[in-house]
Amino acid sequence: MANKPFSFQIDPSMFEPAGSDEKKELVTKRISLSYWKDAWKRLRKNPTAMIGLILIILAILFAFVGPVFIPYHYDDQIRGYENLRPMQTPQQRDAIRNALPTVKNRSDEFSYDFQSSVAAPTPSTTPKTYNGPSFPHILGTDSLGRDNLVRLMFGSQISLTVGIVASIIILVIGSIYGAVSGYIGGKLDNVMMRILELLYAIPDILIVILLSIVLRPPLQQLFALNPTLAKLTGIGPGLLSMFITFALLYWVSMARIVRGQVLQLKEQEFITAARALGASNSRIIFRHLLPNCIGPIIVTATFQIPNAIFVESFLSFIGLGISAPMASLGSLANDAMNGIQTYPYMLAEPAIMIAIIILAFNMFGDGIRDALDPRMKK
Amino acid sequence: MAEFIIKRVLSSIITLFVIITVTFFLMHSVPGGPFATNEKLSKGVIAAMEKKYGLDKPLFEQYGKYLLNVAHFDLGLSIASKEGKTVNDIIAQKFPISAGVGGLSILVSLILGLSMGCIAALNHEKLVDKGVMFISTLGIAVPGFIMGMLLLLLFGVELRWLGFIGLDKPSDYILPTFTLAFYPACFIARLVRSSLLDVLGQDYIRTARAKGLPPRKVLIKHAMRNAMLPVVTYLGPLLAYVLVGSFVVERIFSIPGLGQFFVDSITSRDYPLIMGTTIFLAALIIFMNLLVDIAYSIIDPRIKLK
Repeated sequence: MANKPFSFQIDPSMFEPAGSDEKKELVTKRISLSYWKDAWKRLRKNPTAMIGLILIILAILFAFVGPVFIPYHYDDQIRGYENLRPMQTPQQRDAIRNALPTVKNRSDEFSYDFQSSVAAPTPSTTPKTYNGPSFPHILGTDSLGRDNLVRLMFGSQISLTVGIVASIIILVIGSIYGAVSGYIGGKLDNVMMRILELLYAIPDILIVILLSIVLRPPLQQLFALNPTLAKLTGIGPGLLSMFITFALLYWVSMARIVRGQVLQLKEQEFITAARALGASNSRIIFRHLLPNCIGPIIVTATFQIPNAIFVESFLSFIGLGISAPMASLGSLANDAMNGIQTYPYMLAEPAIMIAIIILAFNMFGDGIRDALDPRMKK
Repeated sequence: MAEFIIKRVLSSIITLFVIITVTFFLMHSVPGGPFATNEKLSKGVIAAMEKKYGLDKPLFEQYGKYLLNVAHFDLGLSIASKEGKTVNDIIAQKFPISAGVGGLSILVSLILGLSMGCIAALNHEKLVDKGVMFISTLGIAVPGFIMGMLLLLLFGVELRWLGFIGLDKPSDYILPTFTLAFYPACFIARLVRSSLLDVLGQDYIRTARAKGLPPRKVLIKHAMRNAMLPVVTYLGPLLAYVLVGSFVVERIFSIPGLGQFFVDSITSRDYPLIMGTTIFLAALIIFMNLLVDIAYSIIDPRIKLK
């Protein structure tokens, strides 16, 4: 058919079936991204989150790998090496002490100095030298001659463990509670939500304090009766009581979020389909509902880590956490309060460490939230 | 409205009742009792002491009696104090000290938070806004008591500008107050910033501007009133934060208030005092939450009363 000029007739060649080359062009060139890849892509673009992640990795390396390189153990008390300043040797310390006869007078005006100046050994009683490795005390030593750096590493270890284990406990309990309550619904949901509201209304720190007072003696007895238990679990009664408290109290917000998600999800067709195919309730909850709210669950769990670390250091700081000779960052800070005038670095070390760890987890948590669940962004 | 208030009051009473019950049975489930740790006491003395404090009676009788006493605002005798002081006396003596620091820091956090939030919202996306947001993110992420320690080390120990032991001079209040106020101030700043940004985009603000009101009047009379609403809901948690924060802040700055006394009573196993203080603080928090809820429903009639 001839193509007439000035005609509105449509060119029939435009309607020919597409060739294979043309079809190939239409196939998407981009590799399809999975949920996780997409989230990781978004996370990587977020500088604050990446700084947080790097700080977390550094903190974990510092806490768990660091002690390998230091020849001291966290409860090694080295005689003659007490109260060293960072990088100081005992000779330097004694030289400074001897050169300053007024040191005693000066210490009189500070009420806090009393204990530490008594505890400090006089040079005549410490001729015994330490024969072990002569590695410098980079962050100094405490009043018992224990290396601060190793204690700081060990304390960070405890704090990080508490944070991660607690958030796993919260994740498990909270998501199951929330999913069951939301999915079953009806009267059970009503009762479960009332319990939750009650837990929410109770000032949590007060109950945490009470619980850790109450749980301590029986747990200490338990650990005294079965020494193998402590070896098996690698934790003391103080830590265990803290985990129990988290298991009892802190899953409330997780349960609420999961319940909200489940309430939305359970009306969707794929749940109806699963039910029509005869799936049991537990299968629906674990195979269909929970995997679909994995985003908010992970976001909430990430924010629970700094929260748990904070609660642990808070409790240890008021003397309720880890028992000596173990140390967490909070108990290190608590010990340092007694000599704050003379040894301010002893307080600064754990305080800065807690600040860095919690800040890093919060930064990372913000990034995770934006990456996994952009709707939660305020 | 009346129905809502009655419902809220009832649920507060139930919460309080649960707290009293939980506290009572938790404290009484500790094996050995409060006198067991003292090895110097003979069996006869312990028995006599237990009789004096009513610990020899069946648990449920003790519980009933305790409930009755609490209903009369009687929190019992302190075991550890030598002069046989009542818990009420101790609270009456120590709480004002904590309340002074706490009240001051609530005030500071409100003033600081509101002004920071306002400045940030009015300079949206500018350098000032970013600065305020940076500080407030930092303040929320780093726990208050760690901030307190760092402040103490910087201004107390290194620079020696401010006192940090006790509350003898007015300047001694600065460090503890700021330690307690820092976190809430940052939180309020973020709240105010986001709600003010939201409000400033509303039609009635444009109307107010269009009719020629001076910007200051628009901000204070029209925008702030609505932007303040989220801050009102935060007052309850703010009080709880300040009360709990006083436990550590009073230890850091050697303030002889109720917080430090409570922490001490934990180590001395003074059960009536621990119970009494817990119940007192919990009641205070619950009461404050109740007041805030009622106030909120009056201030903002849009809220559905449920």
